[in-house]
Amino acid sequence: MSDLKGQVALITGAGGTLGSSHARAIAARGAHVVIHDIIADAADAVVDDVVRLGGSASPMVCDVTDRQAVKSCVDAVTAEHGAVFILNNNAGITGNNALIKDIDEDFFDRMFDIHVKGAFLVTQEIVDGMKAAGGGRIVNTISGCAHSGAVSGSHYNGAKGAIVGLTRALASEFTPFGITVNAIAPGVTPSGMTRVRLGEEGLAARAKQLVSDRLPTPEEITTGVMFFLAEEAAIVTGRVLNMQQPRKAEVI
Amino acid sequence: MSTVFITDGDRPLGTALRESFTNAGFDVAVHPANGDAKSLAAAISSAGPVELLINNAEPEFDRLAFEEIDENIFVNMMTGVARTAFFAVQAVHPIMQTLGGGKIINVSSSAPVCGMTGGAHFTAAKGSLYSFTRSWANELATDNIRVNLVAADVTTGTAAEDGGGETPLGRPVTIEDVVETITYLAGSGGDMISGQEIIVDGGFTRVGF
Repeated sequence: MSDLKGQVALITGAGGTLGSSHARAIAARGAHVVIHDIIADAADAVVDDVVRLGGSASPMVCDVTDRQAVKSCVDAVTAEHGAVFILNNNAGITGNNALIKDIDEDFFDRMFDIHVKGAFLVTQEIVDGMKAAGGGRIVNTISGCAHSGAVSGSHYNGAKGAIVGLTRALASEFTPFGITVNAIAPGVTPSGMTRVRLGEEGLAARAKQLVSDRLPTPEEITTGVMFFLAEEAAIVTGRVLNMQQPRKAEVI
Repeated sequence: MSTVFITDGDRPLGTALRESFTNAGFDVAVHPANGDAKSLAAAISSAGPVELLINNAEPEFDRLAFEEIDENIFVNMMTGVARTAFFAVQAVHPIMQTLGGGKIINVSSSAPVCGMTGGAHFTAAKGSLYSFTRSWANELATDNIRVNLVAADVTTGTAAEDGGGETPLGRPVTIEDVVETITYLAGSGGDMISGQEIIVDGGFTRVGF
């Protein structure tokens, strides 16, 4: 296992269930973790949690769709802690299982702005520092729905598919700079977002569709992120790790 | 007479599709790509019984290093491809419901599969079409709407300068090759195909990746 001591990690949307799980794991390996969220209280709570567990963390509060806000935050992080070595573009909103007839222009634009433009802007703001420092690891959080087509909101799935394209384009482009770009595609995982979308009953129903009869824990999804961060994974780039579980034959 | 609706029907592939479907006896309506949901919906609603929608919209673009893609260029590409396709499908859905079904073909590229240095904006936009295709195939199946993707890696015509030319199959990929693939999916051979992607690349995608 690689030691991340002395490295800086930035996780967007880290106030949420999956982002905070990634933050705890990365901090446990010694990195300073910048906990981004648009909600200050959410970021602060995760910072406190990481510090309580003996890790190092600081909050970053901004709207990822606002270039100037992202830039000033990243500049401040770099000045205080050094260049970002690990970036997890994880910020997102739920598609709320919306059908295409019910998705208005505002909802569509918000979906693509936060997921796609957000990942684009944050990556642009950190990549110069990463290149100058000689390398880095970018892991984008997408969704198994982008592969399977499962109904979760086609604007949500389409935005995640755009991030798959971005992942593969940047993997080619950043290879000469020692930067890998990959993505994890979790299946349904109990989280703040999936509870809003599916409810407790819906989550239980999803678990029954799986051969394992259970949904993953956030920590099990974090394992996918940690794989891409391993020193030994330096040649793995442009890949999407699909973490959906096998479904029972009778529900296919 | 049923109607074929093509977004961005004035670029070379759109023009070739328009001619081909017109010759086959369809009414063909075209629309420029600008991501404006309201004008697109109005055009589709007044086009007649649209049983085939071809999402072909794609802004012109330059290969740019990632750091040189400014926010406007990025947003313009996402709007021209993803937003245009999304709201075209939203507008055509009730028409196809009334008709008892229909087909949607999203025109993409192999770039979201293989990667593309200098094409982060293009690859992101075209990547959305892969996931839209799978999602809409699932969501719209109960309305008998088939949704597929054709990756048009044309190596002659406007894209010829783009390093194109020979392919593993020994000749360039032409616009006519892509038209033939789309025509197949539009015909009865495509009736039970949905949520799939066909990359028309002369075999390039399977070389060395």
